[in-house]
Amino acid sequence: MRIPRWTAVIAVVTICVAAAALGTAGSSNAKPTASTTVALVSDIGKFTDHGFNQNQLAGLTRAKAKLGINTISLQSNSASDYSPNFNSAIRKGAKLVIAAGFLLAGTEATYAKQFPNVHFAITDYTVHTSPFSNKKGKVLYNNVEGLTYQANESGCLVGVLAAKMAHKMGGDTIGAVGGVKIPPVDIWIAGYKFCAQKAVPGTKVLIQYSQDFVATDKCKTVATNEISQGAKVLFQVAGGCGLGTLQAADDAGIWGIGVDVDQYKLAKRVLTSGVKRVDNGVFAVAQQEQQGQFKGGTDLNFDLKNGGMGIGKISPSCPPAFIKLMNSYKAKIIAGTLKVPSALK
Amino acid sequence: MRRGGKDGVSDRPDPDAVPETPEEASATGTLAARFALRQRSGGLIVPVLTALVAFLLGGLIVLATGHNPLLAYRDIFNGAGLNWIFHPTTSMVSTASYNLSQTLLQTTTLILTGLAVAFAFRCGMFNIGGQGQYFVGLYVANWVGVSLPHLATFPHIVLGIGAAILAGAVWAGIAGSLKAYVGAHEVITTIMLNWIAIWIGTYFFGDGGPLQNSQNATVPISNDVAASAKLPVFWGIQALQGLDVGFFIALAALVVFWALLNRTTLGYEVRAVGFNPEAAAYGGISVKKNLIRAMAISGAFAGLAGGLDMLGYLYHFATSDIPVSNIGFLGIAVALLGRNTAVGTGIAALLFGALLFGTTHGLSSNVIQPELAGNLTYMIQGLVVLFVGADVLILYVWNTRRRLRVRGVTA
Repeated sequence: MRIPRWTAVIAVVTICVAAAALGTAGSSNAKPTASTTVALVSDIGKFTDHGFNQNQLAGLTRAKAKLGINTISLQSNSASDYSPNFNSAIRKGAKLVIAAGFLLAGTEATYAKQFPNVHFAITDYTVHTSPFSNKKGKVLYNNVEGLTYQANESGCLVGVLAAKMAHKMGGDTIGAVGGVKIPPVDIWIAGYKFCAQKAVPGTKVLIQYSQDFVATDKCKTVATNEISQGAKVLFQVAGGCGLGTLQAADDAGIWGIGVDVDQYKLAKRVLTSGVKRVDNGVFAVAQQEQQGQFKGGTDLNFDLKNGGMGIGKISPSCPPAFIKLMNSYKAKIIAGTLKVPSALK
Repeated sequence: MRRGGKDGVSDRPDPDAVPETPEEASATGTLAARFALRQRSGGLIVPVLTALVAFLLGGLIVLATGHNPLLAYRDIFNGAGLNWIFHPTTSMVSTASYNLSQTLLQTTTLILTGLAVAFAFRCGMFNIGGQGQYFVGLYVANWVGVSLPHLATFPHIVLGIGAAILAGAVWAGIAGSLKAYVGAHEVITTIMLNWIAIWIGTYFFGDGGPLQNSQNATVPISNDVAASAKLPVFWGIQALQGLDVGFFIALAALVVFWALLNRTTLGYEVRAVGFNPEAAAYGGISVKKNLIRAMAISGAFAGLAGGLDMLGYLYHFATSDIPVSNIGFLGIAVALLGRNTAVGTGIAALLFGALLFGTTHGLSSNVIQPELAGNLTYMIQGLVVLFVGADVLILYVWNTRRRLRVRGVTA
């Protein structure tokens, strides 16, 4: 095929001019940083996941508005983005870098070792385990703070409502659709199962995993499977994937329960949501940093008592007696008279 | 040579069907072969224009969202570290060099996943299984890297890379064999093999899996490979994901690709089958053998990509990282834009590598919110891929028009 020569010339000239313009334009964007700078690095769930990552970003945004700190938010789209995001946060002058979850633990440990003068925090991860501690449990890095959540306590509360609703619907079978069988997921389900069976003895709890935190269709398949086994209420513990669980509950006319954030508006039949205030964790550690009270080498724990855990909006279809019962569980947990297990047996 | 007509290749082709021009040859070959040929006949200008138009449209979309496209592209350019060439200010050189090293890390992988697609294309096959072949290479390299901690550095690296190449070759070879012996279309089988690879990885690194973390068994992440299996880093710091020597291995692979295709009997046979399997069979070339061989070599490139990523900078992998990895699929775009040639693939890989890293890390949160920037990445990539596909269409129209004109003259 023939294309006139001049097109080639134009193309080459355009590229060269564009390259030169891009290279030289505005290279001085270094601003003096007077106040504290806090960075948040997302995991591959990204800041658009309607849950875990997005909620942490909300906490960071709130910290920026209320505390007047500078903030940097960096999104990871794949495993190769973790390290460059930490690097970029430190280069941009972050005094505290918060990692959004266990996927970033390995990379954070590497950077904590490399940059002992920078503070690090990690959501949903304790510093008393590898890679932040050695095999004997000795904490290796004094510049890392863990942010841990007693999700079993919120799981317990939604479990009470789930069991009572299922009983009212004449089913006595409820289900949970987890993402992957890992402790941060199982801690929810452990509380859910424990309190459901305590509130309505004999309740059958189906537990299955979609092996995914992103693809809604996978959770929908697992949810449909549990519904066919008679589940009347489904608790989704799979982040963005779990929207498929809520949809399946809608389609089948049973009840769904959201997770991490208040997901009441994401489907028509959402009973309530187990809320984990990861935004409060981000806010709290940012505030610590600003006030010079960062506590490296320790965990900052969040539970029902300090408002780090909670539940979302409850559907008006839920009888007040059930809510009253749930509140009695809540009071017992806060008072310390009810111990909820944090792992599935 | 005895073969049935299952895959559309008959035993005794009509001697009259021997093509006189590549264009006619393409009309009788497989769809992928015709596609590949049209692509290469387009010359250098079409891919360059394709990329420019895609960037232009991407810019318009950025403009439509109320952001300055020139600022966005400047940020992508600087974010990819390409401003390193200009050394704008001393304070920025270290940032730029780090960014460029990261862009080249992506380029390394893209060169190899691109070659994996390009080699199969030259044999008239569409290898969509680059992602799966990349994964098996990644898994095997992790396994070798983790489980032989007492090996010396050099043999450990060679063993790890060799195993990754072999794994990729076997994985793609399955698709090649299925095509050769039962006529199963490679597009279908490679896609299926991708899913098998994804689920194998989910099992390997998942809870209780054979490659799951032994130090903290509560997370679905593999162990780090042993220090002896890590590739030496020549630019940057190893702990901070510096650029490893895998980059040179990828460059060497470009040369190998070119030499294999253009300077060996194997390459000649592969290309002959790609041009026209019937004519090749008539000339005494075993089509079956070459289909398997070409797929295996394709898979070897993708497996090598996985091996280099694992031993070069990732060191470990998590189940959640598996579904979001799309570097193997990007290889298709790289090969298409690069016209299935060595040089073209190298340049296209650099372009996509820069885009990939630049959009994710260059776009400042002051210009575009990070949650939007992530989508912009995919949008610009999508536009480039779309236009790469569209230029085949343009060429098709162009060639048809010319053929009609020729026919009109002779009639």
